[in-house]
Amino acid sequence: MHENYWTRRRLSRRDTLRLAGIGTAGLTGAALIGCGEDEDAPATNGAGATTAPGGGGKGGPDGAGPAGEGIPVVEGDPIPGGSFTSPATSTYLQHDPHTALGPNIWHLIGEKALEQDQRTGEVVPSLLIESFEVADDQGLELIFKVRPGIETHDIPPFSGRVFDAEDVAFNMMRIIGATAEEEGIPVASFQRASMLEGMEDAEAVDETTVRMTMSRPNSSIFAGLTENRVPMMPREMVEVGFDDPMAMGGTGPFKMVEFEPGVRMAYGRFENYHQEGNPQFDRYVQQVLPDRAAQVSAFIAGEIDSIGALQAHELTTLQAARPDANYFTWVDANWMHFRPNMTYEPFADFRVRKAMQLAIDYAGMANGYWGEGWAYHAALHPNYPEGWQSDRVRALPGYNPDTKEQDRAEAVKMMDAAGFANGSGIDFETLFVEAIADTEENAIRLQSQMGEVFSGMVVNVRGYPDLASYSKPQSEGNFRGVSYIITATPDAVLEAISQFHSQGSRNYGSFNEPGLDDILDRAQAELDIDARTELLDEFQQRFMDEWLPLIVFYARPYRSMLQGRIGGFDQTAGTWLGYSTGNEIGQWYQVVE
Amino acid sequence: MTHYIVRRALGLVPTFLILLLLVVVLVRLIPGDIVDILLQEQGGGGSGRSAELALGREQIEARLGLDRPVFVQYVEYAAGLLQGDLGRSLWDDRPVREMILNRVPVTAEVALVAIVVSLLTAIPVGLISAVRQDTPIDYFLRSALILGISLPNFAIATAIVIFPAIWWGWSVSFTYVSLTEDPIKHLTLIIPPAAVLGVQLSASVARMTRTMMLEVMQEDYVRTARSKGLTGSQVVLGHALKNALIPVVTLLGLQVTFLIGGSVITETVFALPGLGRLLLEAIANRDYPVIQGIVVSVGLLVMITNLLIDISYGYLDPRIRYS
Repeated sequence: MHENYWTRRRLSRRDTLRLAGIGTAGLTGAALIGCGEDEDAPATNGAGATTAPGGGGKGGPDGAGPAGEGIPVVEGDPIPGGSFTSPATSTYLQHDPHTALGPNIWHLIGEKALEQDQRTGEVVPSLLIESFEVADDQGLELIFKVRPGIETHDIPPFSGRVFDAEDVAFNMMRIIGATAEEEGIPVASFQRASMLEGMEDAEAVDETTVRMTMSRPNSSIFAGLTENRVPMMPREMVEVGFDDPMAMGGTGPFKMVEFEPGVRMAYGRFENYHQEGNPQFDRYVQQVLPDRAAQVSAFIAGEIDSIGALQAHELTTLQAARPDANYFTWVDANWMHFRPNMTYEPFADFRVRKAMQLAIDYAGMANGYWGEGWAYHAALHPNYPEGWQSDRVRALPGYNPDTKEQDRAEAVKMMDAAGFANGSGIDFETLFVEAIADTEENAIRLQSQMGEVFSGMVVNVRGYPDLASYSKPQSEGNFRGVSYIITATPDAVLEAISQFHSQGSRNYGSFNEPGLDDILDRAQAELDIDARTELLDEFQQRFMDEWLPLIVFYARPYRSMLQGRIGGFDQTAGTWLGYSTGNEIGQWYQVVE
Repeated sequence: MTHYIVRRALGLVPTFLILLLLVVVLVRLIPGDIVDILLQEQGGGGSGRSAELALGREQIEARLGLDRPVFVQYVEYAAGLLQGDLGRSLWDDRPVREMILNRVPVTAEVALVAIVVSLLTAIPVGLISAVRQDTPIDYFLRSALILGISLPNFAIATAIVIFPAIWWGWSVSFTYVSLTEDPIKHLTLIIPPAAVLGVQLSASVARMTRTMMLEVMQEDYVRTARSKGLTGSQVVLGHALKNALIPVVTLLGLQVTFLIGGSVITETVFALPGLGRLLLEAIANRDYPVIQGIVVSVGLLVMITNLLIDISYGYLDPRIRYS
């Protein structure tokens, strides 16, 4: 095997983690140190994960794996069987794994080709693919080895046959939309095609080997295969169709046993699942509870086993009502920001954007809404191995709470130099989504803070009731500023291209800087890990010093509770939390209390 | 009578067509559409470059039939309705008629129980309040009725859901089971939301009953009944109440829209798979055919209910004759 970006990257990360004991856990801990601690909150460990009294303790069964340093694990011996219930706001509407827009049943009945280590972000062999490598020096031929003997669910027409290389190759081609015409689906519906950008062909060489051919090297491609919306399915599924969830099957730990629209989705244990001992639960239920108060109430009453995305007031209520429950918190993949539109003349001037970046009180903003647990975030999310970590960002001008007065004085001078003394002549409205409370909070705090620093600046806010109404002005670029949230993609280069590249799909503010495009294009093609990291480091530095296409407020914390009898949450308390949470449940278990 | 009914039914046709036009047009005036949601998600997933997104909008609009003029969409929809076709969901391509029919029983059950609960409480309360006018019991009942009208549905529903959980660690169940699966459990799921809806309904009905009873009790025929030597209860129940109920029936008819509107909140809070929640989800997803289907169905229901109420007047008051 040739040594290149991917192979070296894996070793490098492992070694780094092993030797230095850092990684997301430690970095998150650093974030917490930076943010200060709330005396009323439960004791916090170095990972930023906490357990309420009654939680904490030793690791679970083999399937759960060892916990990283500081990551909480639940005490108690595992009990096979039983049922696990989590809340859902609705039953899923779309069931095609490659065109569905949001979470879908394939997170439970299927599996992805590759996975990311939840704590380190490292791309690792998954349950389906036991190894992957680059077969040539140019990065134009990639080889995947499929784990042999994996059985599909016993549902016709695949009826338990072995999942093989042909299935994997078929899925790869389908993800890029190669089958769109044949299936009569618009190619644009295959929305994750860019995850495999540069892929020309994928073919089965033998029963367990897949060869992927690239038109050009793409250093993001393995990370792209870990994206939540590119799971693998038996190739006959396109004949079955994607209308009836009960007729669908994959290779995942659970099979669909009930799908009642608006009521619940239930999954039963797949007896022939290839990972021995898993899943331990006999049944997993997603119970539809659209109302938040109902979710809280159901958790207290023990009707559901988990509740996520907790707000501070809910946490207080739940901890008082259920002191036996386990509480976990970590910095997840969501980041909050203000995006200026470059078509508004004042924002086209870097000095204006920089002055605003220097003037914002980030700690005041994040602490005001979240309290502790968030992380500082500059150009790239701190959970990316290449991203500047929270403590480093905290030391930067503007972000540093200790130099806030000095930075604000500098901001005033810079605004003056740009020709907008005290912000006079700048008049903008910040759009936000009312349904996402912290986008509103941040917009209002930004308005207030700009008023404190720039007395002549006119800042207004405008809320949109839901995502659909907000999406229109944002996607059409019909705004001067937005306060919004982004869920980071699995790879730093993919993320940066999407957000900041002049051709980026989420470059809503029409930012156009050839130097930035060039550096990201080179990073995507760069196969050497060190060179790629250097490019991304330069990108982050110039992002702050020269470009600033948007101003990131902070990376958001995630807070979750599990009933005391459930173990294995350590599997997802880490870098990324998204739709794959469902997949992880295949490795969770009940414990002896 | 038959002539009257036919004339009234025919009168519903233009009303229905206007409703249809309003629904089709107004739904499309809601800011943002399904294409915006789809594109937001596509971009949001890190689809690196934007070139394909522009193409995506056209393709998606064409696939969903949203690229045609609204008037054409209206005509097609109306033509489909004549054949009983309410269209298909833009999201999962299911027939809207089937989606609505699946959800109607839950909403109808909750509404029915709410009406029964409200009538069982409202009529006796209104009656007692009227008969005991200006006594402490009247003052107490009137205050309670004002409170019942003032408290919004969502506040009562949330209080029922959250406080027992916080205080006693107990909660109403949210695990829906159908009537045929487990009738007892099913009823325990239906009663709390029905009670929430019933509180407001019963307060309005009780106030109307009281007012009408006070008015009727002043009528000559009531005085005559009394002078004939009938007992108080014979006068009230045998002569006054029936006449006092005519406006109450009208009010109940008008409350059908209130019940459907209230079901959006109660079905969401109590996690019931009814029509109200389907409507809420469809609005959030900008699923035009589903929104249209529900609004049109509810509109039709209201029109028919009002027709039935008009017809019922003749039975409640034999003096009323239709020509």
